[in-house]
Amino acid sequence: MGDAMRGRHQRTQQRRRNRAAAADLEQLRAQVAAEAARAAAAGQAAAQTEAAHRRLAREQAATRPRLRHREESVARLIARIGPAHTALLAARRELEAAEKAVLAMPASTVIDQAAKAGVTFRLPEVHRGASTQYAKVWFRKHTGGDLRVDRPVSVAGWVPDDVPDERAALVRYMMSTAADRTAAARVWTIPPWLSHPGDETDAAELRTALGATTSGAPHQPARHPARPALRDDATVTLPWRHFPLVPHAADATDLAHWYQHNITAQQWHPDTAPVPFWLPAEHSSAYPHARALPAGTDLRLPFSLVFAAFAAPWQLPPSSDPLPESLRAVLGPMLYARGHAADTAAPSLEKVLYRLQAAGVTDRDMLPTPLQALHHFGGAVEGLLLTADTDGRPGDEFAWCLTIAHPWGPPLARIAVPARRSRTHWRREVDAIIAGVALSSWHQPHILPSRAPVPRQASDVVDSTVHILDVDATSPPAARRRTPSAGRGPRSHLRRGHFRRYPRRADDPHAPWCWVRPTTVNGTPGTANQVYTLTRPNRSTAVRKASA
Amino acid sequence: MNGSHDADTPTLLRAELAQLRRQRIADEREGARFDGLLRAIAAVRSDRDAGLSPRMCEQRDYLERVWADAEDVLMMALRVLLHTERLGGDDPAIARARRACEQANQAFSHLYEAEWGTR
Repeated sequence: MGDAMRGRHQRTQQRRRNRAAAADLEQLRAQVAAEAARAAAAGQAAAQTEAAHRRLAREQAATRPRLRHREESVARLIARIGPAHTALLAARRELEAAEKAVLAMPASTVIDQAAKAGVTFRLPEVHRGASTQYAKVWFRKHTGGDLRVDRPVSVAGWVPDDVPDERAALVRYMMSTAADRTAAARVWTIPPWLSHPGDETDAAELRTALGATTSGAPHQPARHPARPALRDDATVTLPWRHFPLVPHAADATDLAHWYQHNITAQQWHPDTAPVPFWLPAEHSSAYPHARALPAGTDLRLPFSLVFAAFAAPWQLPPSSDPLPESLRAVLGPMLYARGHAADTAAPSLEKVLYRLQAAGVTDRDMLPTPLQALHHFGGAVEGLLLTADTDGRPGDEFAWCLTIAHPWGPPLARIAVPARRSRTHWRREVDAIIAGVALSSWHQPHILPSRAPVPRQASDVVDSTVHILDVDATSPPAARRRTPSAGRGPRSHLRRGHFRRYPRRADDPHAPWCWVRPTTVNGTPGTANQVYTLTRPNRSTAVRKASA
Repeated sequence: MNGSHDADTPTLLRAELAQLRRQRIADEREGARFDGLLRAIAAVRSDRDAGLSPRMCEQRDYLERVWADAEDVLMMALRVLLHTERLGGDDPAIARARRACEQANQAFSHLYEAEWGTR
């Protein structure tokens, strides 16, 4: 009896254990199945990542040969510049020594003249912490002359007429810089080493050719729209700083900043921020040569104000007129007043006027207006500001974004010249850029060329608003490219670049537009990066237009 | 025989589960890099189209330094020239300053020639 009871009890326990084991097993199987599903999804993601790795390697491999030509070209430039740079540094050492020797000349007039010329000097025998009064006494005792520590500066013509002639009011303007974001910064719309155009009659020929619609002078705004700050790691930190010899797409952000400042001061689309679009050097030069599009082509700009920035600015050569003597006389003072622009803080108006007037320019009318300077010295078109209506249809209004060159090298200013397509002599070029912006494909704006040597992580790339032209997506399919065969067919000639549709199938109404590069048919390929030069209208045409 | 198989199955399943988990975690870690890689691909392509490479970034930095030096010398020469013109005279220090300005002018000519082939 007892054995039978024990046997039953054991069997019951065994059944319970079996059920529990079966349940565990079932649970385990379910866990394995669930884990297998998750692992499959993760495996798929890993495979995608692996494919992305391979794609990145392919893109990097494809990049090297494409950039090699440009790298080698810049390397040759650096090799040429090396000895000149060494000579320049030697000249700087000699200048430093010569300046020190001049300042050590034992005459009170030296100090006086040095101060007038804007030279910063120190009396070595007087302690740095000594008071000005002590320095004056010491100076009189040792040289017999008076040490002047203040210099009169004329502000008429440089500070707006509506500013009261009181120290408190003037200080805001005198201490302002081009980098200011206050109302006082309007004195920098036209740099102090250029004069204000009183009306629209200066440089009439060039004004007509540009199709300019404003004088270029700043307006007194009813209110001051908020102006964005320059980015922290900007290269073009001043509106007269040179365009980098090796441009970076991020430079378009800086240029957009300065040109926006200029158009805002002129009250031209003051409430719209331009969106920068970066055209690589080849396209900057080839687009303006492009064949015209078929009539009625529907073009739409992606934003109401587009800044098309050129990696290779168009050149605007100086006029062939002889340089007037009055301009020749102020060449040195203009550049001296401009001062450094690379790697330096923006100077105050006071400092600039001090230099300008020390160099003999006490009346602003002695200086050329921006367009007069552009006419005589030449310059470059760094981009175009293109307008569009709410549906993206390009407007007649646009603005030239110009740098004014100085005959001795450094640029004098960046100005935006509002104009009309219907009026400009260079309408074909402007229309070609509108077509280029409207029909090209663009990289996502949040991706900007990286700071890291080889970008591998998301953090390696910098956020930006610059759209960069997507060359591959804008080019025709590779299979359709034809290599011209030498010795057969038509005579050697240059075939202009042009936009055309490449249908993916017959009667494709949405065939994408592609840019067909300019080619030399039956000849040697030309240089990819030639600089585009605007040809000035001949004088009779300009006069006819002006009188029309 | 069957009892032995049943006894081993949970062990095998647990081993299989652990293996799957390890693999999944490794795959998820790899998969997490996908977005970064996509951005890197886009960055490489836009770098290429913008005509910029790490080597060119270095070249750019060097050329910008050269230009900053050139501007520095130009401004210094203008200042010294202005100063010597105001003072005038035949003092040796003034003569030296004039020579230094001439030297700077020649250095500029070389730089322009190297840069653009002509002044």
